Amino acid sequence: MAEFGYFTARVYTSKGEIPVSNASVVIESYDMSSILGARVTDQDGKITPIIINTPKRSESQSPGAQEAPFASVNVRISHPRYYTYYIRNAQVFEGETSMADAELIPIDYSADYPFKAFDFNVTPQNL
Amino acid sequence: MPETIVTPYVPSYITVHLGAPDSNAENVTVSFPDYIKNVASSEIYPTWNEAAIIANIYAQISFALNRVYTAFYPSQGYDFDITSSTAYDQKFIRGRNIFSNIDQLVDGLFNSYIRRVGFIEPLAAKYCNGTTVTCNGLSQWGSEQLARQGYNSIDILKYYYGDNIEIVTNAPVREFAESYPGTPIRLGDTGDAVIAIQRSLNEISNNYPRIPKVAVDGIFGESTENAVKTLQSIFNLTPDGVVGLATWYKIVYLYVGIRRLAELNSRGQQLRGISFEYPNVVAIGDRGEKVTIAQFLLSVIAEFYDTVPFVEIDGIFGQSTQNAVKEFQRTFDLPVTGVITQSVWNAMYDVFVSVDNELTTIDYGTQLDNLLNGNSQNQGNNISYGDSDF
Repeated sequence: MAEFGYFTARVYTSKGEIPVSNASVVIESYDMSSILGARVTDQDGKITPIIINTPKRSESQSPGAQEAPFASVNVRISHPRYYTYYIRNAQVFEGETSMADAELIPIDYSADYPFKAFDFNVTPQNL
Repeated sequence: MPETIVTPYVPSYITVHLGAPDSNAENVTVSFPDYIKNVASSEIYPTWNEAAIIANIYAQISFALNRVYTAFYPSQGYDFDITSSTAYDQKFIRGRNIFSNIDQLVDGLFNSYIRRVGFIEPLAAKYCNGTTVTCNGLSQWGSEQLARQGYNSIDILKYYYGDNIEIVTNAPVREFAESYPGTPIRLGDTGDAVIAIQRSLNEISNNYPRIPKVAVDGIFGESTENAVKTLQSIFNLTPDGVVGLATWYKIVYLYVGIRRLAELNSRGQQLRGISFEYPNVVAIGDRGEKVTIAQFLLSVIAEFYDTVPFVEIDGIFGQSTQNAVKEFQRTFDLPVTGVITQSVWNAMYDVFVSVDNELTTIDYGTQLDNLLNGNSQNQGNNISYGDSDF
């Protein structure tokens, strides 16, 4: 039986956490070769979970795993009014839900280069 | 003369330097619960036994609070509370994914910490993985093994830190006047806490319309319970309709955040009669209207950019304002001088315009509008971060 976990997102703007609806959330494989799921945020800025295949849970419950005990995925969150939010190597474990709490920033169209991404890379735990 | 004992508080926000202390890295200011959620997700695995996860979270909270309580970095002249470097502090990865179970646990624990019996300060709880690195503190892998043997989180902490520790629970959160009352508020309850919850739910629901409006009558009836359940379902809290610590502080953070935006919007409307043209160089030691405008621009920007810290709008260009200017300059690849020249002013204004449209389109609702328009304390006077009914 395949092992899997879940990925979900909540998208908002400002520290007041004003929800951003109709943002696209795309989960792609870590090598960007395939799209694993895509959603659009609802009025609360949320999506329904996307199922992601993962290594076995037991791989993360004792030290010395030969391979990373989690699935690595890339997450692209975008909306026409905001800078793109990109997480590289986001982690998903079997039976657990990973969440992207994405605070989006409004685009500054007056800037020399108004279109840019906020790009975050997740490195493994030092375990 | 008797010694003044300073009670440790939990900061509502914490500033994290994204590198070693002396590196030219950005600072980010995040809510304290979000900081701990990020650290816990970066340091350990979510698949571990819950007792091990909780023990690790307590250690992470205590370590961070010790840094804050002792002003470890500010006392050395730095403008941040802690770093993201594991050579000095705890792992923090800006923008990373967090794990749902860790998210829920931290919401219920973020203002609890470890201390030695007879001592005031949070324990500077050291820890390491316990395999490739050993230390005089908690072993992360060891905690998981102990949990599998049936140890609870307190047993695990005592195993590593000694029997002379205790857990302080429900510590006050700075800038929030009203702490969680200590017991859950639920169906059938009445009183001031219920009024505060109802008022806050109504404000939050202006931007989260799935949360139904409720009568502000101080009676926790079924409609209030339903509104609480809806909020809980949106924010990954147990949807039981009971306002425990986690739900209380989620409501507080949201309400204070929205109120702060409303105050800035109101302040902006007052300032629109004043020219935003570059006045002349604005620097440390300056006072007056040009400083007020600069602080207002930075405050609005800080609501949207976590790399720009909050600054009080008091018309006085002191150290905190200078720090905010420096972080703005660092964020936008400008020379980091702490001085507002024409190019810096223009950049601040351009970024302000880009986010101001959000500020003016947010639905603050009638209640906050009335509060701000009718409250003379907010008419042209200082806005302090955190002023609220909480």
